[in-house]
Amino acid sequence: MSPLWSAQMIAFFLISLFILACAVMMLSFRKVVYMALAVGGVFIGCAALYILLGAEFVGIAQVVVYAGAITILILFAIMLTNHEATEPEEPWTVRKALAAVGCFLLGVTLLFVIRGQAWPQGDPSVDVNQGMSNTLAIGEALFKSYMIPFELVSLLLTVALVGAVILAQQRKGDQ
Amino acid sequence: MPDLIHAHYFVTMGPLLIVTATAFIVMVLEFCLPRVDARVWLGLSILGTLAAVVTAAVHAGQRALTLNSVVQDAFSAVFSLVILGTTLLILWFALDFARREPQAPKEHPYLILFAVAGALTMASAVDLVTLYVGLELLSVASYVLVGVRRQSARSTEGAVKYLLMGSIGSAVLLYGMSFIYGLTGSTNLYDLGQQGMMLWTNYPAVTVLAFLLMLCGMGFKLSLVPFHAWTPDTYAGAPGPVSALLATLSKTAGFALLLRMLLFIFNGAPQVYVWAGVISAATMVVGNLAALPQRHMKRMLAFSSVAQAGYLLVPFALFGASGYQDWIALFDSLVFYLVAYTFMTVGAFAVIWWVSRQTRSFDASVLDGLARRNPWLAGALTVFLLGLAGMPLTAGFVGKLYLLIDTVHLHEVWLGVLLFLTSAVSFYYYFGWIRRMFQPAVSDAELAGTVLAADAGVFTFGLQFDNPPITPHPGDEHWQDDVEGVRVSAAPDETGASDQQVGDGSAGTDARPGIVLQTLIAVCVIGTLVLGVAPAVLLHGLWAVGWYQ
Repeated sequence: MSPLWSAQMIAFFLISLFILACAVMMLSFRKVVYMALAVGGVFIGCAALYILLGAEFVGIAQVVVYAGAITILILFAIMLTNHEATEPEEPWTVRKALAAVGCFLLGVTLLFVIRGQAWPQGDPSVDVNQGMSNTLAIGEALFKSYMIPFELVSLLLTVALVGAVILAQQRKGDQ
Repeated sequence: MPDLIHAHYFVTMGPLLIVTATAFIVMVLEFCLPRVDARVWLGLSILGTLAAVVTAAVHAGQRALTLNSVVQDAFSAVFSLVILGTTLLILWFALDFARREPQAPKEHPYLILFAVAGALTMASAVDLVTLYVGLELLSVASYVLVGVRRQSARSTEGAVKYLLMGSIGSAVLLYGMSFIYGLTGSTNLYDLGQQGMMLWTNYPAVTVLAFLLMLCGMGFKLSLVPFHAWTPDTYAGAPGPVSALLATLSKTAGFALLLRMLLFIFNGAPQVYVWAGVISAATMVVGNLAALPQRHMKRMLAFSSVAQAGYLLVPFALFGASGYQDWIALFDSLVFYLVAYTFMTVGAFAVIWWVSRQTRSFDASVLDGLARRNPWLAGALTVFLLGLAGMPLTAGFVGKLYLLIDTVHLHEVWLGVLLFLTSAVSFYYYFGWIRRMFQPAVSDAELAGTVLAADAGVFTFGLQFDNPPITPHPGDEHWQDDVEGVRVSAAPDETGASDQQVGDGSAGTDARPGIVLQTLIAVCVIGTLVLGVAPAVLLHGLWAVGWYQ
């Protein structure tokens, strides 16, 4: 069986198609709630890709955090504020057409650069995790090599949380 | 495996730890004691920053690496000191801001400190992940700082634009980083530095792509052309000290990150730095030309800061053409110009804030006759503007001269010529302000007319010079009171019409800036002049630190 038609390859194409379809739907929907659901689809598709690549921990975390928590959070935010909101149809302008051309050119450039390059091939006989399971290796990296950025992320989350409270509080005071 | 217990945390992260601890203390105390004046928290923050400055200065000569992600070397020592010095200026500015505007949000002090913690991380991290987290820490704190002002549509508009553009910039930067990680399997800059040659020989196309994506991603944060569109709205919407923070501290940290990241990763690929020259040229030209028609003072300073970022990017274009020994001169030029730019910009924002607060308008016409009303402020602003334009005897001139010499020395003369020509263009708008300050004042009717026109959003090319309102006034002693009276009485009308005023309703009551603001402006004037007359003060310090030691 040629490598192009192995089961993994077919799964990859199907998942990619699903992700792209969800992303396009997210952009083309006019109702905010549908957009949030489409984003959820993108997240689930990405999780499937991660699992296909053998990164099961990242895949599950993706489902739990993004597809679960974040999509639901977005939905809650929409329901609590203005769930009837729809985006108005916008006509095509010269500016939008130019932006589309620019995006297309950027995409083509990226594609050519990526396809035109012989990428480094990993050696399948070397175990990058040194015998540990994926989850264990991630934990080791996170709490040993990446200790400092890990602690800084907690600082970042504090700032984001406090910032969100400040902005929301003032919005309430304004009304 | 790194040793978690016995790492040199305090040598490498001392200032960062102190600033973070101060931020948390101020935040918790502010939550517990909401009735205390915001100035107390600012004072506490200044004390914490001073402690961090002392720590940074004491450890400036030491060299250590902690957990492969944070380092204490010449780069981090110099940039940490510059960042902390800028922080002191901005907190000092915020101190006067809080005094004059008691309704100003109290969240400023600790959000500024969190932003500084991010900036310090960007200056001292040697791991792509750590650098990125530092950048996000600075960015998120800045987004909140811009949007924190209540009941101001402009503030919200500026914050939303900054948030969206900043997020796109982060995404582009990460995309570029992901290529490098994919090729090398490492995020550590020392590992990447050793693989620089391999990257360029084996994967030239992807290396150029990654360089461009990283440069463009940082271009959003540093407001380089063509990623600068958010800058004027954000600066105009933010409170005075926050605009100064975005223009100086966040740029210093951004350039520190860019310098370390690009030099380590792309040391084997000299050709890619040409792109930095292209973006630098575009930034210098567009920034200066876009500043010409601006009448809103903060918007003009925003475009001016875009142009200055173009000058600051010039050394990046020269790294490819030169060897390690020449880089020392480039580092010196970059740091010198950053310090000079910081003094001039913070000073200019402080004066502009004061003047616009007195007159309740950001239109450039409020500068008319400032030399009569307040010669000291007019003189200080003249020094800053001359410095930004690059007149001799100011730090701006010396900084630009060093950049020019670098371009000639390293055979990239076209960039030097462009720097010279665009600076000549910038004289036009900087001198427009100076002329306004020293010319006799406008008649009352004309003043009202121009202010209203500006509020209605009429920003026309050359308007500034088309109506020379030179009306010689007999009886100068009476004239001054006259105009002041008209301005104060005109204030309530404008309050409803526009939301670009800074004050709360007590503006115009005190005509002299307080001692805090005067000290700040004096420090900035002294900094601009001393560095212009005796640049050796700073250069000897840089030489003593030694870039490669």
